[in-house]
Amino acid sequence: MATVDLETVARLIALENGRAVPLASHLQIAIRPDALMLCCIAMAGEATTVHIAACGRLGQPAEFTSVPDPRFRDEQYELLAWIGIRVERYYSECRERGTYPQIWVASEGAIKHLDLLADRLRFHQDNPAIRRLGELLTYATERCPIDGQQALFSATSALGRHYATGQQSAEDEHLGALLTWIDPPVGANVLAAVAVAERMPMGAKTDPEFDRLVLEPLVGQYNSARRSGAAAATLKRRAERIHDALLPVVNSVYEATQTALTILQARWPQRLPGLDDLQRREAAEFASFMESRDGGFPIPLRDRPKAAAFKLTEREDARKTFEAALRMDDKVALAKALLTGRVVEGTVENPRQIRVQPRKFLCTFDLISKQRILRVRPGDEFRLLSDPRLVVIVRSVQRRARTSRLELEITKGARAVGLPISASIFILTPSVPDWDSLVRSRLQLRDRLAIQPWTHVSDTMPPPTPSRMVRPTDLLASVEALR
Amino acid sequence: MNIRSSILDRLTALRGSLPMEEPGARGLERVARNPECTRLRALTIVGITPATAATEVYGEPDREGISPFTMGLGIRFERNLFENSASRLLQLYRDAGRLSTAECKVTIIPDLAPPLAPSNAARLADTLARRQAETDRLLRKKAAGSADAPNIIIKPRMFVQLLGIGHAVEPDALVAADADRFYRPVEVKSYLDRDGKTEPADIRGACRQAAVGIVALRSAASQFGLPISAVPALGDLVLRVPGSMAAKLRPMTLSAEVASLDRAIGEAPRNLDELEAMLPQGGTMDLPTILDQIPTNYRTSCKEHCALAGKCKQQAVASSDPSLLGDATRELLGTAGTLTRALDLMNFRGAPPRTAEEQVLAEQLQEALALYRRAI
Repeated sequence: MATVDLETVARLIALENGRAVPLASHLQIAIRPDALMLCCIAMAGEATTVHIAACGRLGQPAEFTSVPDPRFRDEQYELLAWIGIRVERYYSECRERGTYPQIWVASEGAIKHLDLLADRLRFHQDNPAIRRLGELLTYATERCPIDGQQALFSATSALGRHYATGQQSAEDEHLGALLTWIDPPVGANVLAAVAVAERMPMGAKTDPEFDRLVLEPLVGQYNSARRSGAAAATLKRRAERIHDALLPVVNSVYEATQTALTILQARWPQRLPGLDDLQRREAAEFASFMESRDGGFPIPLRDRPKAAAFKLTEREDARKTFEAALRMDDKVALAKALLTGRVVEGTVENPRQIRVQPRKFLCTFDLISKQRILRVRPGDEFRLLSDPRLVVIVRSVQRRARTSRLELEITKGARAVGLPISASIFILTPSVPDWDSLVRSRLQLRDRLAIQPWTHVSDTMPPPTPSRMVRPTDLLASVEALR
Repeated sequence: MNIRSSILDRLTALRGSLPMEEPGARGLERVARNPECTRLRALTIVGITPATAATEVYGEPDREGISPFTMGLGIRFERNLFENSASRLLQLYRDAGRLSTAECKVTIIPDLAPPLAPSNAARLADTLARRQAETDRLLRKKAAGSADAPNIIIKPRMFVQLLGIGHAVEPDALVAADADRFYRPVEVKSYLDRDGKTEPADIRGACRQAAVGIVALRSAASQFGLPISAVPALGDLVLRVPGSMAAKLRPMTLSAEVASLDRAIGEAPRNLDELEAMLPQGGTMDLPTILDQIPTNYRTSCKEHCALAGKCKQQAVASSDPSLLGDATRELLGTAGTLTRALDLMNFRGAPPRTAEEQVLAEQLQEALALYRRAI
């Protein structure tokens, strides 16, 4: 039977209260003061286009640019080059300061749009400026899936980490609806207000009804004028009408993205302490990325096995490290871990120090936990949350009714932290963030993959290497004997 | 009066003032997406689309529909593939090793019938009948093992039986090598093919529509004396390469989609009897009060495919349905039945737990609440 999680409870509370409730105790994102907001609207169906773009820095009004019909390649490239100039300038500033760029978009749909653009543009043969934009965007889009990254965020997912609403998580992807839950109108029913907010497009495309009634006729008129060789002034006028029609759409998305960041900055004054380490990591990744670009190394569309192994390791390490950092410092993350039994909380009993050798002691104690779920087995290692220098190993677990008794042996930190005091409350966590683990993992992989396994380099199998062990005459009996 | 006209009369009676609408492949696959939604099944069986129910019965503004840009792109993509005797589609299959250079027999069904004239009912009926007849002729040829049977049939017109009534479906194409026993459906979509990054919702919808084609093909195959095994649960998706009109061929295994569709269709006769029993005497589904009586199954994915999603959500709010917080939450809080009851259990309010399962749920909710409050 599935068990209730903390997020479900938070959503229930939000629904009852008629407003979103906090889902974190600390700000989990290092919002850069020079962050770049990028809101692009594609033409419906033409996902690789940008019809209008809004670009600006945190807290600043947007600059806008559009093309009348993004299906015309030359004009589309001009728009992309406009974005490219701003992204290049931003990346250069970050590089000079030794930091990293941070791009904000409205929603996960916008991130997918950027990812698609990055994948397409970086292979452009004929236009170096477009190719460069694709490469620069690739930094952000490739970092995005990595836990704890600081390069590319959607406002919806950032708010979603910090707030629980009283609706389905998929519905939180509409930024307008999410903001309405966070700041519902006074005296109004929140669900009715959300239904109204949802009618305003907040993604990377315009509304089909808007396209049918407004945009398509305007684009059609522009194209007719173009085909008939109309004067430049006429074309310009018609292009401006298209721009004027799209401007409120993209501006709403831009303003909503800015509002999301304002909320996070204003209402989450306490930052996760691990953010400093995450920022250092990000800066190092950015520096490495840009050095690769300077060296002319291409970014392939699909990773080869070796590169994929490195990236998978990076993702696993990032997840482990970020989760550990959250458990250490964010109270809601800690509560989630307590509920799922990954973190153990209990009362100390029977602290013992036994001399086993001259100047060598065996320190043990029992921990009595009343947690309903515990993911603990003998041999598991834990650290004290309040002082991770203390490391313990589980020797046995006994469960009686709702109480678990863990016998623990201190393997490290007994002298630094001291023997636990009886009746004190201990919280033990399975791991703490290890900010250097990725470097070690990469070195290990480099050595291990120096010679690639035969599965990835050869079409033929290696020759057999017969075992020297004596084979049993009756194989089945030998297997049965193992029971 | 034969069984078919009796069923038609029953369906007409249930529709009230609303005309019959063909569900098409989209309507049929929609039912399979949410088989527990009695209202969706009822509307499909009776011949009312959810969009019509939303606008004509509930008076909601028409919000369904795709952008003219998307539609235009889809039409251009298809035209690009099918022009010049589907030479580009043929080349796709040759490049994939599915058809040899000798296997180049292409038939375009619309070319064999008069052009469509939607404003002239008689001519329209005649055109559609002609398309159907031509399709039957070609399928029969293939079933008989004729070497002349086409390798690709563009826009065939086939039928899926629902309550003994044939509903027309027109897959984008059918494909078969000379050695294949029968055809396989092809769905052409202008969605972008990004390998592992292709939008899952796009693939889902296209696969389900291809599954409808398989069901129709199996029905045709059995008419011509072929076993079901002649039509395996396999279909082809043709998607667009990003930034161009080039296409990519993706063979797909559709066992689950076909199975859910078969199940939904198989349960239809029972559904009609149950539907009539559910409604008051003389009740018709063109009235909101009657439609409201038919149970729904509001889910996270309803917005993807059903125009009544907004209406069903309103009803879910009114009935405090746990699905408002997602499918997973509905499973978790199933014991409580409603969000109101879940909140009461969590906050030690209302009646004490009535069953052992409610007791367990209450303890879990209270434990989680205590930890949450401690954290916040």
